Amino acid sequence: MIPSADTILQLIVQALLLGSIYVLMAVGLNVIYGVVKAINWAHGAFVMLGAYAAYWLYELYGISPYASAVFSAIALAAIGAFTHELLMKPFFGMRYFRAITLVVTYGLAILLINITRYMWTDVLRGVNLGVPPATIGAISISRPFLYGGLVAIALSILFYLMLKRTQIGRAARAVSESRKHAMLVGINPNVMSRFMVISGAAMAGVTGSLISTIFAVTPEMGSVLGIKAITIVILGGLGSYAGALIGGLMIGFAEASGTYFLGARYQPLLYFLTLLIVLSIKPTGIAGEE
Amino acid sequence: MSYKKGVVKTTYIAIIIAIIVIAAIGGMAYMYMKPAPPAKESIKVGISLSLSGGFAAPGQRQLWGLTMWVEEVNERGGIYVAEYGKKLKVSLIYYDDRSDSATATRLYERLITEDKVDILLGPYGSGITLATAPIAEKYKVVMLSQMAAADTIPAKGYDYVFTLLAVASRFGLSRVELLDSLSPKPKTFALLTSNELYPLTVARATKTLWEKAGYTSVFYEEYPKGVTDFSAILLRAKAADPEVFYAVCYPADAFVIMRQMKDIKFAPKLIFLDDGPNDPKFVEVFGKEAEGVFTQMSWHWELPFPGVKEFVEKFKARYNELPRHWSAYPYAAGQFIEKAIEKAGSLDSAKLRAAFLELKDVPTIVGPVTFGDWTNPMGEKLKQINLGAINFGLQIQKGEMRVAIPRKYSSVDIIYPWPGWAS
Amino acid sequence: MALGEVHLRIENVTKRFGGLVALKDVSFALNKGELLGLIGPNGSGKTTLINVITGIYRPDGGRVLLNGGEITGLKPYKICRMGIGRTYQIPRLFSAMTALDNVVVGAIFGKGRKADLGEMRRKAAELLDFVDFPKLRREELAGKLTLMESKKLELARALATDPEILLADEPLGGLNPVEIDEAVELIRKIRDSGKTVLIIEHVMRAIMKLAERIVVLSHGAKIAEGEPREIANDEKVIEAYLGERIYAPSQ
Repeated sequence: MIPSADTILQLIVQALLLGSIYVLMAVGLNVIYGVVKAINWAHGAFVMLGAYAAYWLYELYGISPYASAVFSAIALAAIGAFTHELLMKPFFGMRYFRAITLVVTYGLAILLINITRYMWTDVLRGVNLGVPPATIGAISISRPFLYGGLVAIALSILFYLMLKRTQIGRAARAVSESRKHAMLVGINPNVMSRFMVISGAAMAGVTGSLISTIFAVTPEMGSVLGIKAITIVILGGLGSYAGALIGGLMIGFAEASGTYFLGARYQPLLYFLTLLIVLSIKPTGIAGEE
Repeated sequence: MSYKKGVVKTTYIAIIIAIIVIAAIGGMAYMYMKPAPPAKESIKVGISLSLSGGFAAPGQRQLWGLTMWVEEVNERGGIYVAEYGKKLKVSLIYYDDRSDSATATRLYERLITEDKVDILLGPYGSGITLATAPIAEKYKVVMLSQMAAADTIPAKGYDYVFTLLAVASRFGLSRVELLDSLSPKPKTFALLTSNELYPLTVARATKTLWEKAGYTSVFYEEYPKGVTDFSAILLRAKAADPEVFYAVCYPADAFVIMRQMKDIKFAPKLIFLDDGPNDPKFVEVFGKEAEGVFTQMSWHWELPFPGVKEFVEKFKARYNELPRHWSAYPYAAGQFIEKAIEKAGSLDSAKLRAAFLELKDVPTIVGPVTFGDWTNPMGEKLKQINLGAINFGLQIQKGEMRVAIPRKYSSVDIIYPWPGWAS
Repeated sequence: MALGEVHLRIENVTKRFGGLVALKDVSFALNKGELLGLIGPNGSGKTTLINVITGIYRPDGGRVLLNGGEITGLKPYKICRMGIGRTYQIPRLFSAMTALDNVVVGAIFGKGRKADLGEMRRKAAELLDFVDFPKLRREELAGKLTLMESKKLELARALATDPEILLADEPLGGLNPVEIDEAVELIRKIRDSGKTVLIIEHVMRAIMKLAERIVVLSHGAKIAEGEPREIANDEKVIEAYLGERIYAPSQ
């Protein structure tokens, strides 16, 4: 079946929107990895908690997820602070720091997902804003998706600029290159790593708020999205923002076009193949260093 | 400083290890805590229930349904067993398997060897049932499964396992009736299904039966676990321009599918989503847009079977919610067991099994029950399933889920074609 | 504080790594406004001593006093903020950041922290000019600079933290004679701007010209302390260097 030009255009728009949400997730993960050098496996679970926060605020008080994103961000920032102090800081300087934090945050993810399942069960939840799609010519675009994508891209750019342009961003980059040398120019690396873990977690909270308007809110999304985010970050190159952007959009396109042309059942295979091809050409990921 | 830090780290790790050890000991103690042995002179019915873990919500409701039956039968003085020449009360022996197959397997073994139960009821879900059915078969104790819909279990051909719930492949029967009863009859259908075993069985059986009945498949897609976005799939389904769109999906997927269908303005004449719209939440969330959407249930509170009304009222008064099949099927299993024991006049497994097979159209709140063998649309032979089991097609009308299929149990007209997206 | 007062005091500092004694009861003082040389053969403990002063290592014994106050075992960033800056033998720059940003980073949290980013950038640019860093290379990534440029940049970054004391680990190492002359001038200039400087050096000719006083370490212990001329003629020092020729100032 040859798709019409309109369908292809629609598919491209869809891929971009999906990709932009993935970019935000990957940026959040990279924010943490960049400075702390820990892959936060619980990132997807953080996103899930953000989505639940948005859901409950909408359900109980009628607060729009766009407004409650601030609350999600604050709530997740608190969880981020906890994660940094209890699950990362005790292991700083240990030889297998990356492996330890990966396992510990994996445990955290399982814990959070199961607590959520226990408290709120697997019951169907989601925010339906009920807004009609935006129409451009023959293409119709989901508004929650559109807003979500725009916020995601804006936030990603904002954070990127923050890192590039501000004092704190420079200090963070210094720590990300070397904790030791950063200390010698007066930077307290623990303050910076705490700040970055909190920021990354807060971004996960915002991602969750946005996603609550697009997808269903379930405990499972925590593990599904977590794995997706990690895949993207590895694909793009750990710690690289350009990589998060390219990787996120690439997975968005692979998912949308692969699903359309090959079929949904090949989605896991497609992820695997994309990862395999990219990493065999460039083992550090698309924009990864070394 | 570094010394102190080392101590902090060691303490930290020690605390983690301590927590793990305590949790493990606690868990073991919990598992081996033995309830008081049941009183003699009673009919012992054994079951492993998922009272905690992932299936805790339906598992709890399964217990509610069973409790209601046990109480009622004991109020009547029990069940008359000819062999003993008197009525014996029913005592229910149950344990929590924490939604875990391995635990459930041990529990069934224990119910048989230590508690010496007379008859077994099946656990929650196809997974745990599949794991525990061989235990019943091994010890030749009758197990009446009420919460497993997978064809794989009756396909094993066990002599002592009976399946009360409508198996997945039988869902297709009511799907065919649905399309047949529409006017004008649709010609084409699109079918989207999760590729997990149970939905896949439903989808393949339905597809086979629909095609046999002359409907044309223009789109068929199996999606794996972990798909969060359905836009691309739905774009292709829309491009195929089907009259009927049927998705065998989980509630969360139904939620996204519904929303994204609207986003791409995909408006077939009939939308059927297996799971999702049957949750009252769905109507709440989608409001008017949910109107006319089809879904399914294994049981419904407005069915015209004898005893349903009383059961529903009593249940509502007691548990403050509408009963679902999670409670109705265990209750019906009790109703059937009652008749079977009376007929067998004995608690002997072989005699009970024979009675199970001889009984015809036993009235229960899930409809008349008859056990027999059946070949499913994919050609698999299924042993000892409930030939009266129906999967009901429901349509959302004025915000309520109404029984639409089978037509003989329906009190409403079907809305067709679907009115389309508002605005 | 008047010139000539003790600025940094090393008191009986001992540092062990397992069974190896890297520093053995080392004591000396660095006076305010002084340019002190710290020399010694390879493996004599010079860099270890700097690491102890800057807080990278915690000594097993002894104390480090800054302006009379104990700073032993404080975190490196705290010591930096108290006014001790440091450069490495092989420049350790933030290679993925521009040259200018490297200096800005020093100005963020160091002793001379500025609130305003614009001011920081201005200060950073001034410092780069001060160390004679080529203007055109300011926006180059630090990882792509030549050795001389890297050394200058690292000096500028250390100065950005506004140190009272600068610890320079072999600032002349790896440079050609023309560059050495330039670097020597630069270090003098830094001292003349009012900083106290401790310089570790292996290039003897230069240190003899540059330093006012010299401390000599060998196998982790201080074996001599004095003016360059005294040091050059010290028997123990000559022995420690095992034939390595020590140059006296040429005048």
